[in-house]
Amino acid sequence: MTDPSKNMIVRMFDVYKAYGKTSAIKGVSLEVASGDIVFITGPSGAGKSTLLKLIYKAEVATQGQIIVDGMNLSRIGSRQLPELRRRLGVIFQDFKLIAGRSVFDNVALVLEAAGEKPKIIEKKVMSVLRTAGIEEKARVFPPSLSGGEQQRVAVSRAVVGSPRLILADEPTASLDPDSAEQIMQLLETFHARGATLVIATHNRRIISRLKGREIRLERGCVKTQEISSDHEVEENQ
Amino acid sequence: MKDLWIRHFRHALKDMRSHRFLHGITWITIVLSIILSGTFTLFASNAADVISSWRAGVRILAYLEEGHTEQDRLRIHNILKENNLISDVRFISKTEALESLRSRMQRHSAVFQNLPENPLPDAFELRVRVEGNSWDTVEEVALYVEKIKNIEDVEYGGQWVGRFLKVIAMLRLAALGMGSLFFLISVFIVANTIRLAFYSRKEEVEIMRLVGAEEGFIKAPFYIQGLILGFSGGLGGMLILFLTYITLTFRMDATFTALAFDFSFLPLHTVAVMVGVSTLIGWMGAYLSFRQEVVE
Repeated sequence: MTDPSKNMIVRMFDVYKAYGKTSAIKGVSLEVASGDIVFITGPSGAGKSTLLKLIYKAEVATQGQIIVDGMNLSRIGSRQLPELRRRLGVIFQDFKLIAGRSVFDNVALVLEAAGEKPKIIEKKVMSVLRTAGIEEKARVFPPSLSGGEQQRVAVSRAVVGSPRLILADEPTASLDPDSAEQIMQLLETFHARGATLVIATHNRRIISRLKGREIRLERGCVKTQEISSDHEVEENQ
Repeated sequence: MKDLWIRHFRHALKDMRSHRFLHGITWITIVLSIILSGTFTLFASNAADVISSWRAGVRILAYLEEGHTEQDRLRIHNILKENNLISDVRFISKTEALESLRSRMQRHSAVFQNLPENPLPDAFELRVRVEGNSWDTVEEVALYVEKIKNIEDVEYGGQWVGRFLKVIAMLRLAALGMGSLFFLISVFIVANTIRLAFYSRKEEVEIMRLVGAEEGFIKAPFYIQGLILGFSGGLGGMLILFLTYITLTFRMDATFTALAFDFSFLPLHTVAVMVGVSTLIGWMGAYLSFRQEVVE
């Protein structure tokens, strides 16, 4: 169970998401406190990615309320959407890097979109690339990088704007164990700097390595919520 | 802010380079539209100049008979002065007429060298006030002057002036019609070009939206592309039209001189308006391409 004294960065109340007659999310209610690490787990098709997409409003809930960093997503229009997205850092399974832009430009995009000055952009991007261990790849284009390196660029892009919440959708799914380990270390580093992590994953190594809360989804419903000691604290259905 | 616009400009140019064929075709379309619309405007503008000079007073030349006396000339001058429809009367002696002709036809000076005597007659140059597009007054004055004793002949625009006015009206209508048509065609072509460029970067645009970029930030390079196409197309079209004008008028200089007609290029403010309209075409094309995206 989450600590009620903490600030909640994500709150979902009885959220449903349907695609036509198929329901991807059914009546999910959950809370994520600031500074937490939360794992969304479950088998393929359980609704993990959909749940994350609802948080960064790539998908709109069919029913229910979602509040992210004080913003009620059902009440924000397309004009406020960029502001919500700038408060978040999203890491995608398929990296989603722009092939025609260098590593530096891919990461800088977030700060350019936020209207930062070039000098500040240069400083922040190089700092985050240094932390990710890919400083020397700054002028390289993503297609010439390995999968692990590309994911490190994606993590750098997600954290460069110092978001309060980082959403990661299967961040290690397409990586070898060494690269996955590096990504985990990186996520740990940024969590230690104060970011809240919500990670959708199958990878038990990540879950056991990073102390956090696990929310298990099955067929769109929250099956169990557990802390990392594997102690079951709540059963939703 | 300045850096942001430099960035947008850089991305716009990069995009134009990677779709150079498409942008090239669009640019040529704009250039051709401007040349065609500009040509019509050029003729309409010169015709308007001729008309306005006529409005200031249509010129009638009344040639005097050979062997008239000084007294005859004074009498005719007084008769002409008394006519209310005539705004100005000026005597042009045969010597003055020959000098004027010589200066206008300097390239053909040889023609005048072997003349045994001045073949031109003395004449009165009259200016007749013209109201609206009616040329009846001119004809009325011409007939009146022709009947004065010692006047041998009267020369004025006559019937062709009326026809000329109709041609000019049609020319103006054609300029307006062609201009509007080419405006619309160009806007749609620019819109499609920008749309294709936008779709070719669809994935990039999607990523930019996911990282929180505003629509203005995403679309600014595409608007800049439209503006660059419109502005450079307008300038290119005007430049080609000007070079064509210079080449043709240089060759036809003698003809214009003989017609006593000064065929001038478009005034600077008209050129500026045409380049401005062309730039607007680019902007509207970009705007339309995004409107289509919203509708879809």
